[in-house]
Amino acid sequence: MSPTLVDQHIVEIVSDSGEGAQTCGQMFADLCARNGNGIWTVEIIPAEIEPPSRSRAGASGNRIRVGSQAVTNAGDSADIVVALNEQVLYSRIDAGALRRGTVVVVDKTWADHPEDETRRRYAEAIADFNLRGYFVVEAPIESECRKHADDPKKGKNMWVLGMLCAIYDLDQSSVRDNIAKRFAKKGEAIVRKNLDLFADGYAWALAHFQQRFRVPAEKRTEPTVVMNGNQALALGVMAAGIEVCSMYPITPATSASHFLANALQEAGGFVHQAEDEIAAIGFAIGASYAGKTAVTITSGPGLALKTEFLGYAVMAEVPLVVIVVQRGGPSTGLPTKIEQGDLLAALYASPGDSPKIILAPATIEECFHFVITARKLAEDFRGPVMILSDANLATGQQPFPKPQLQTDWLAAPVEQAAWNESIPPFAWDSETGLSKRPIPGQRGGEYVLTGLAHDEESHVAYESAINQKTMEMRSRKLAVLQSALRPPRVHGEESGDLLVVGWGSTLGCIEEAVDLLRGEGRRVSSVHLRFLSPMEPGLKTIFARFRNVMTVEVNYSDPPGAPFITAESRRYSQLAQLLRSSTLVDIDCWSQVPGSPIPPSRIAAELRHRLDKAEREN
Amino acid sequence: MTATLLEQLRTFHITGHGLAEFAAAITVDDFDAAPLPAEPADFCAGAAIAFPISALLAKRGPLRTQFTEQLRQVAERLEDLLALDDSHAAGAVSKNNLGAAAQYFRVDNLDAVMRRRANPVLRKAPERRERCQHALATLRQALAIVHPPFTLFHQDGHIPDTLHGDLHVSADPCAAALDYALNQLHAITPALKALRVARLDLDDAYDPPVHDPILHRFRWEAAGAGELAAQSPVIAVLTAAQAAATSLCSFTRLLRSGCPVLLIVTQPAFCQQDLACDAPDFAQLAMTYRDAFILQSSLGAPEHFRAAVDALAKTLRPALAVVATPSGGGWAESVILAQSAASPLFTFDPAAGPRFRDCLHVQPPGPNPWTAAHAVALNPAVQSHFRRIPLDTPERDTFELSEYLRLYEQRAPLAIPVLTLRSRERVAISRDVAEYCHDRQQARSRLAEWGAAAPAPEPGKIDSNEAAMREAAQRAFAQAIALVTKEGGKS
Amino acid sequence: MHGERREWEAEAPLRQCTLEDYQGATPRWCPGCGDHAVLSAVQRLARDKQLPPEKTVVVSGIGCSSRFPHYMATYGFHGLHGRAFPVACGVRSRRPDLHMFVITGDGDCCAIGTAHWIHTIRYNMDLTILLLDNNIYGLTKNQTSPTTHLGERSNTHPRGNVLPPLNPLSVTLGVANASFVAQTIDWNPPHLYNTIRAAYEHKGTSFVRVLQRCPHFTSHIFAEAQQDMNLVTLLTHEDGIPLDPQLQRLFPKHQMHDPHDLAAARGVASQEASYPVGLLYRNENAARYDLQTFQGLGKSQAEKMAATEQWLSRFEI
Repeated sequence: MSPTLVDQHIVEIVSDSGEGAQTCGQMFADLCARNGNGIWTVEIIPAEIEPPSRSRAGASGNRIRVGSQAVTNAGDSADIVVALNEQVLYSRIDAGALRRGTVVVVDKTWADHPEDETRRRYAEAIADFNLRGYFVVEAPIESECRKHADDPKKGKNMWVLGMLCAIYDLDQSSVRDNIAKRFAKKGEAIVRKNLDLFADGYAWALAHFQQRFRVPAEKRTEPTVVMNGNQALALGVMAAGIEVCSMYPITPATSASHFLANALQEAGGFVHQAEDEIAAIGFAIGASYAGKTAVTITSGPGLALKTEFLGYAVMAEVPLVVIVVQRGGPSTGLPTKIEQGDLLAALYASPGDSPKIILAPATIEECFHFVITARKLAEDFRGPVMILSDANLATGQQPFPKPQLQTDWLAAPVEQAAWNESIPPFAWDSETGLSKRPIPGQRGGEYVLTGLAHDEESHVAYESAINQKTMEMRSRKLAVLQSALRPPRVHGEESGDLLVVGWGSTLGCIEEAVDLLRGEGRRVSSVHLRFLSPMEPGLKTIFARFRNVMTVEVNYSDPPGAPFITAESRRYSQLAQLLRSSTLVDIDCWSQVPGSPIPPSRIAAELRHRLDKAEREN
Repeated sequence: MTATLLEQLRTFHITGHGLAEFAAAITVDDFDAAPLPAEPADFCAGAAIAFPISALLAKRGPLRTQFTEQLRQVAERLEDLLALDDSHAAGAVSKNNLGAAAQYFRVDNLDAVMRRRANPVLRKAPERRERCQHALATLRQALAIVHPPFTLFHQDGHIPDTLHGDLHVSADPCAAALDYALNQLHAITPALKALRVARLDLDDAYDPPVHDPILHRFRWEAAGAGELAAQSPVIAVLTAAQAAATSLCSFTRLLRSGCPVLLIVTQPAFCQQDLACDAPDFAQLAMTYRDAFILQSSLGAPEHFRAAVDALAKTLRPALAVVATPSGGGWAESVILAQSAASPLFTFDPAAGPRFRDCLHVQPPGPNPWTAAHAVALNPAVQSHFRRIPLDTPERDTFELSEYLRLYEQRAPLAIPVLTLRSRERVAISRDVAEYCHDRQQARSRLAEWGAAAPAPEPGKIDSNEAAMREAAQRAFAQAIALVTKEGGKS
Repeated sequence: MHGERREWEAEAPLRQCTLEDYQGATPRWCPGCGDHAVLSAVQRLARDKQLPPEKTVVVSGIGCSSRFPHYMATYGFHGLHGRAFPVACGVRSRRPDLHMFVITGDGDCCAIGTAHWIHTIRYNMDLTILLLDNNIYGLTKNQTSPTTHLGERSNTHPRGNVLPPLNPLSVTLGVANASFVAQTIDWNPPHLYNTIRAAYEHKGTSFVRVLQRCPHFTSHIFAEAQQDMNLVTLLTHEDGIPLDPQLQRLFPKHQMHDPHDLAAARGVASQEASYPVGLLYRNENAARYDLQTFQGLGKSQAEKMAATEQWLSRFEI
């Protein structure tokens, strides 16, 4: 039978830890990407390092959303879920990943398991799945795998890959090549075994699986890369010519530093693992002070520790790039989960007034390019520039056009020419507050950097006039940057009933929700900020063209109807607070902190609710 | 009979003729001594040339690579500097250097604002740009030239095939090598200058009033050791005969040139014509030039040769290597000659110390009491100078050669110097050979004295044993002379 | 000739720096403060070694001690309390050409900065650390410091300190990869100078604890040792801090101590009868982290782009 054409599909593969579900997912995603499909991959990570087998908390795997066009977010409920045991499937049910009609492929080996308890639980689960309305397919995965391997734990993922290939009508030859390459190091025998497993799965699906789908795609014409956000940040560091990366291990930021620990040396740099977060930023500031701008990478709790040094960098005007890969908070919170809760901390946590530049990439591609921009801005504006990413971008994978590296992106050689002695180390331009800094080695430029209030010569100065002026100068720089930014692009009509404002990794799900509603004839648009400090200009003008404005964010806000929550006591989400105070527009907010990406349908439901409510009130 | 035999022996000793029936071949096994080391596989005349050259290449090769790498790196950094300067001309901020995020910016606004800063990004002064560009071009030119592994000048073409380099035949290899080496150094001088200019400009430290005159005066002699060592080695090769015929002037010029050129002179370990010891002693002659590195060694002393060549490879001075190559007596002859210090093995390194004796290092002779005669006895060309004496010939008129040589100082005795073989047979030696041995011994001890390798024996300070032996010998002499006079008088 | 004549360098005009060239702002320390002596010693050393002021960086934290950089006419980094060390390591990490001094105090180094102290000793980058130990927090007005003696009163311990003091020498000698540990006194300028000079010349992290008089808050602490030199033991050894024989006679007590002997050094550090003064430990072969971080310096833009391109291509589909 010919395959059903679909615009997009969501496939999940889950198993116990160590069964290779993630490899299977990655290879499937790769294959689709090669095919020309858009993809968005999300890792499903177990809560513990070595969880017990066949447990809900132990699910490990991937969700892959495949589309004809570019895919910008993880989507809603899955269309097919392959579970190597029924218990891990429950973790996906608990996460709300399935719906009535989801095809559930379960390994039926547990039906014949020697232990009574296991067989009973399996039977119970299957009955339950049917009750819930899932389309259950019991596949003999383990028994099929045993034909080729003694330890089926190592082969199931290849079998499943074959099965998925058949279901989605994908070209076998490139997968077979990929398998051969991936397992080449382990020898001929292993490669052949995996190819056989793959072929078996493929054949089984052709024979037994009733449905077939195709997500049509056009082969890509331009060079394309697929990677996750942390890899993109790391490659951005290299492309920007940054030579010093200083870090302390913290989830979910560390993989970026791991990548750099391997790669940066070849580009002439090195990764410093400091003794703690404070040392990491201190080291980076020292390196920046003495030459080229350095980078430090951390997450929310690390940011908290770094705030004193961040304030120092602002006061002493030392260029620095600080990458914060946000995670679930507060405090130790949810280290591997998604949240965008550090915006206000990034802005304000240092003592006194510490204006600094903050960027938030919205896609994985932007993770790469923003590092280059950040380094340049740090040097031109002489201060720290923060990049706020999050666990969603960090682990999600998405294809994007391969960047064409440019020499212009690289940091310039360290200036060692003699410094013009008539120019002080802080020669603030009276209008812009911008100045150029001397670097140790430049004769005539000798000065003592200090975090104390200081004058142009960097001499400690406690006079009130100087304090006023220098704060003004540092603040002025942000206004200057804002004057050089464009107003944000509006997604949808330029005016309407509702405007949704977002930032960070919610770009995809917000725009998908907006598109859904526009399809229903609703007048809703969205705007997504990349610059949080200073913010992009022209917001008030844009907001004025909409009846209502609200933010959608993944950080905490009080729900309006809850007990004791009044207009006065209600705490808004973070971007909403900023926008309300800077535009004086009564911007509302809706936010969730589920730890996972918000599905577009959920946002769409909320938007519909708001629009309906607004209509009723009119 | 005995007297007649003795007379005949004496006649043979003095004239080298007579007693032809006693002439017999001698092999090394006839000697009562520890066995010689085994002959190495590469024992041939070619090794004398190949070995120093390959040691030189091994030492200089990595330095050459390093130097080329330095040139390349500096050239690339200059290119970067010039490119950076170009980008400054275009704009402080541009769509390019902001990255793809430039779409979020009003780029011209930002650029305008950046230019307002005091001490804004300045383009380099035109003459600085020009200087950098010129330096860059020179460096690139230097990098483009392909140098041969080495260049060798010789007269007649007996160069081993294993060496891969540029070989040139020339009537005067010394002069040709020197001219070539100087040309090479002059050719690299612009690149060395450019390197210095580039390094200063990269640090933005080039100061025209200070550095222009220095640059103007710069010559290859001011180059660093690493840079000189990086140049492709230049070698001249001569045989001793060719060297003897060559112009003393070009020999001198080469060794006093101050530039790193190597002259290899090969001579047979033993040359029959040399019994009169009038062939030029090149190595000792060259020492008078004070500044050149000199090595005299032999293929028969591979360890010394190896060590000396290692030292030679390190020097950047003009160097002379005089190497004794195989001759008629083969390996055994070479080894014994080397161990007997008939041709002294030494190195002269002017950089080793302030005093002459610090520079000269003479190899002490080997443990076995070889003399030159033992060696030449093995050479078929001079076996006519040796006669095996019947066992029953009385001993009183024959002296073991080593003793004979020791007593030589006092009065050339008329006794007959002999070598004692393992079989207790004695072999009489002609006076020519004996004189040859004496001369070689003198040469070595004089050299050792210069090098103070062993303290010269002070006259008058002889220990009692020695005194007793001397006395006995003197009495023996007196007796012998008395006999001769009496007998001579008789007939 | 023969690659030995330095014609190029020899002819470049020499720049002669005087003491004034290293003198920055007028020091605001109290009269009689030991910091003045240290400042003079460092300025003299810079002059004697002709360190170009633009190539010299003095890094400090916060405290009386840490005002130091302002009084030197070189580049300086007056940083955060307890955080001089990571900054100094960062500065050194890509600048082998700079001459670096790190000035810290007993509160700055031994209280808030302890984590960085331990690890900076272990990194053993080429730094000269001077711990100006006056046994008190001076700048913030008289609080107990980790090195304050038992029983001493302060604003935070008006009834007297109840804990025995930390011994910075013992702590430093207990850290793996320590390479240079010395102690000196501010009231003997020749010894102070020689110690700082030896510390500067040592390639690696040189940790020097300077017993520093504070006339304002702890005038009694070192007054005894100043008057009765029996309370100070001079460490002597040919590998130690050199001191003119005439000046050695100012110290009645001497102890021969081989600075290569770590166990003996620890014994010397922990003895309480008198202050040991001199070089306690030296190890020229300790691992150097900065030799690692210098690798790759000077790569051209082309090389960097080639490396980045290579890594980027691994993600191509």
